[in-house]
Amino acid sequence: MSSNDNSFDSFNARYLDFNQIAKTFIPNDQYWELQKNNHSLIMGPRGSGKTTLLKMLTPPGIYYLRQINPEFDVPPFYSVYIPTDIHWKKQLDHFYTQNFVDENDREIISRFLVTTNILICLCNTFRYLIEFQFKGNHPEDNRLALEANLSKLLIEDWDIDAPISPNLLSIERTLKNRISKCNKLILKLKYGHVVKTGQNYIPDYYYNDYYSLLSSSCSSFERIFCDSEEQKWALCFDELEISPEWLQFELIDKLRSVDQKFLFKLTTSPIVSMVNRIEEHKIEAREDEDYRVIRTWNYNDSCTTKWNEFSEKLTAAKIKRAFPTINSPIEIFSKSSYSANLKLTFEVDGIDEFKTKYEKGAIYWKLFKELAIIDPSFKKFLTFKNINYLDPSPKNVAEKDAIFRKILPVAVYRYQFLNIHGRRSRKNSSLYYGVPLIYEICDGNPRFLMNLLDQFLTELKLSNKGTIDISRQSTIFKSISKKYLELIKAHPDSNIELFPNRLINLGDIISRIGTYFNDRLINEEFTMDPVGAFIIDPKVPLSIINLIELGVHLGAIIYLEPDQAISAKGLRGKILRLSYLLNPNFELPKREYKGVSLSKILYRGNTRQIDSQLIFEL
Amino acid sequence: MSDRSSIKLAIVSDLHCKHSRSDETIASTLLYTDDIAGATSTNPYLALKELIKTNELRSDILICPGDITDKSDKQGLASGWQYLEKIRERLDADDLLATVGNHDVDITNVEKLGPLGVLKRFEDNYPVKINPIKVFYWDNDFCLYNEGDLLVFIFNSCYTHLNHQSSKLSSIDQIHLDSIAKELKKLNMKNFKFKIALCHHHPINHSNISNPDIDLIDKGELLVKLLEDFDFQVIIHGHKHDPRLSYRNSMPIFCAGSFSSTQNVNDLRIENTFHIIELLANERKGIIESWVFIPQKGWITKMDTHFPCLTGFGFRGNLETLAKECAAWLKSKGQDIVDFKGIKEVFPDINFLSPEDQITFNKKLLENDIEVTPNFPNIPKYFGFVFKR
Repeated sequence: MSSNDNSFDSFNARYLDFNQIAKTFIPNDQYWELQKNNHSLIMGPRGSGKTTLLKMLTPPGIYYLRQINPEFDVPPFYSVYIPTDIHWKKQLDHFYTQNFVDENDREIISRFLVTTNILICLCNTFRYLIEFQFKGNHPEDNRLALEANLSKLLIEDWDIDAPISPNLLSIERTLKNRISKCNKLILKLKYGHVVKTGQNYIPDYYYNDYYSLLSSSCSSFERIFCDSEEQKWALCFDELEISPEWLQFELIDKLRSVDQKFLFKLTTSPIVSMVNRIEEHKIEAREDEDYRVIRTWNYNDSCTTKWNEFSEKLTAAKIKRAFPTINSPIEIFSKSSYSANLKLTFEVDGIDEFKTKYEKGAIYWKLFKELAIIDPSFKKFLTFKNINYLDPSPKNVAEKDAIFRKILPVAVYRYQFLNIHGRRSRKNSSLYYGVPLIYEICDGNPRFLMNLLDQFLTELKLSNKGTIDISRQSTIFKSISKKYLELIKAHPDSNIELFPNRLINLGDIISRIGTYFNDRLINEEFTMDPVGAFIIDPKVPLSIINLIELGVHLGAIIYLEPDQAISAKGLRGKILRLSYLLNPNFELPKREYKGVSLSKILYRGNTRQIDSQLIFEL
Repeated sequence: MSDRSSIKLAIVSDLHCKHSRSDETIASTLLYTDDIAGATSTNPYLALKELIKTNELRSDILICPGDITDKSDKQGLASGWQYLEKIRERLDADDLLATVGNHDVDITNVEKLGPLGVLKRFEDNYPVKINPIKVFYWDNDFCLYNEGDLLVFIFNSCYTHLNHQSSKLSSIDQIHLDSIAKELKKLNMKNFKFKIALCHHHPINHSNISNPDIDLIDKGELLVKLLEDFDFQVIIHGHKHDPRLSYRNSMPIFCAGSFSSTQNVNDLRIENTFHIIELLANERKGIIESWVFIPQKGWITKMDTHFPCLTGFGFRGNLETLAKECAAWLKSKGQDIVDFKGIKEVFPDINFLSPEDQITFNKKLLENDIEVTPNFPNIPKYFGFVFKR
């Protein structure tokens, strides 16, 4: 018989997504934290793996993880995965700006769309559970009969039109049809083709409340499939920040809930800003008391260390699949020490004869000496520190640690990119290569890392050498970095109207910040403590803060030392930096440096006016 | 081999393979010869190899109804044929059989070898691997490929394509029809349990909203009649990129659509397709499994495709009676709902419903308070009585 037969039901076809994710999934601390029996707020930029974490909590996710490792722990709850569709969000946003229905009706329609979406997800979860969790418990015929019984209860509870075949697929289809009809209704309302007498034009089922339906439906499932034994359910809402505002408030409020049946697992951007939307005292759910915050991006050194360990495993596994004979990423990429770059610059071959690279005549010594000759401000710095610029070797370990190690990255970048008499020196710009830099530059974002590795492995396949040299690695990094900046510039929400018909673009703001850091690092007076972060100071207008928040959401801007998950002040007063993935665009090293006010970067001189070069007219 | 009750035919049609540089401003294909580092998610050939491996697909022969290349791009022809060879290998198929498509013909005579010159000098196994049959094909514009219990009639519907003007039309004349009949009479048709016909152009009308139907094979209906008289079981053709199953009297005619061209695919909002037909011995009955290519997902089966992912041909009974019998059976089981696989085991005729039959069958079932979920022509999972309040 045909292999397509019932492929609608086949594991391979339907659950390919879960199966593929499970194959490459490496459970980390964040995942184990998420498996705990409490409410969680998972925060991180796009691509930082939040969705993957949630998907691996669902019944098919767990099933495939246990296929790989039968000992894999099962969470103490059933997960209902509820994604938010960005197109759907835009549709609702547009709907909210229209005045063809009054505010109450708008909210009813919005609530209906959300409720229906949640019910579709619940239907999916029930199907997953029947197929994955309860498969062995009941014979096929009986399982169908049980599904029919459950479906009959749902048809009644959810006001589904009958006659209908009592199965979960039919119910799901009906729910999807309801959404199509709602879209038609919105269009009819827009063109005035609906007579609004009272609220008769809104069907009764629009008034259903998602939370009470979830509660009754899960109880129905427990009655039929679990011998009425009560179960715990985790409602996993993905991308809270693009859900309607009323839902964001309700869900955050529900983090205080002590309901025995439901846990909430919410994913969102690195910060939930409630600026101008809610008084701070009204946000009653408290981090650590009511819910745990799981942050998925690198906001400090400890995160970077964990990220590097995770990246190493991920990279090694990916390489092993493509090149079984290669044992470790370092074989392909080598180590990311500055010495490889400097050896090419100074044309030094072979093994160093020196004990340390700082020793007289060694490679860093050469760098400091050469830089002092071409860079008067560096010479001045060394002299100020009592270091002979013609023999810049450390006098002792303490001096090496306190000065030489610290100035090394700045010295390398200044040497390679300094403007001398109006000309760029650019001796060897290959500075983005090696392990662990290729991990660190991805800044805690598995999506970046996977894309990067795909490009590297394609390169490796074509080159047939078994390694990728540092200049090629750097070129690939630069090209990805450039594309990333272009993508940010072209993002549909990247332009904001600052004044009537005068716009500002997030990509341009990022470029200004990056260029400013580059200027301070390379062209201005040498300092061992340059700027590399920015603070959202009070002068920065809300419209620009909104753009910066988009940057944080897209992973282009990193929120450092996050002290608050939910904030009534939003990003104001917070310290941030550019994602390291953008650094090659601006010839910046991967280092955390001190912060400077954002207004200082964006404003012209001491005025309160944004530099006109950043603004473009429609 | 002689004991087999069915045969599997994999079909890859209208590849329109070419070098990316020979593409015009708008990409007209998904299959480029220089996509050497392509990903399975974007390259239909690589994705098909993956599908075959993952789903352990097998077929007895691989058929290509023409247009391997696009606008006679030589590199497209060479790579396209190589891809087909590799697909055949992976499917573990005994033979790869093809016919000439209008895009394979060098109508501008770039190579100064005549319109079919390049093709005649191309690979030894193109369009069939047996040399005398191949020679016969080029001399007579058709051939009869027979191997054990299998007979394949292959027609070159582009034999009149000498220049740009003549390449717009296709035809078959009485001399060809007489010659085909004469050759068929030489064979003992009873020796063949599987009789298949293959051509590039459509022998009967195949209109769609965006293209006038000017290039069907003139006198094609006479060819169909002749093949029907000689008990051929199915005619397979390409050229038109919207796949379709039709009947001419009792003869099923299957248009395979396009494997990787985007022309008349994107504009008609339809999908690129790959098919495997399971043809029953000595009957005009078969099951067609189809996969659609979705960039980023590869070859998949999904709901609401232009051509159903699981359909068939050859049911000639009464759908109302079939629906009533199914309802009676379900009632006798005392169950509200059963797995769809179960009902097909009891009523195997359901396998051979054409896409049109499938839609009518939905209605007939509903008249008996029965619904299949998802509805035909999607692939149903459930078969059961509807719930009424």
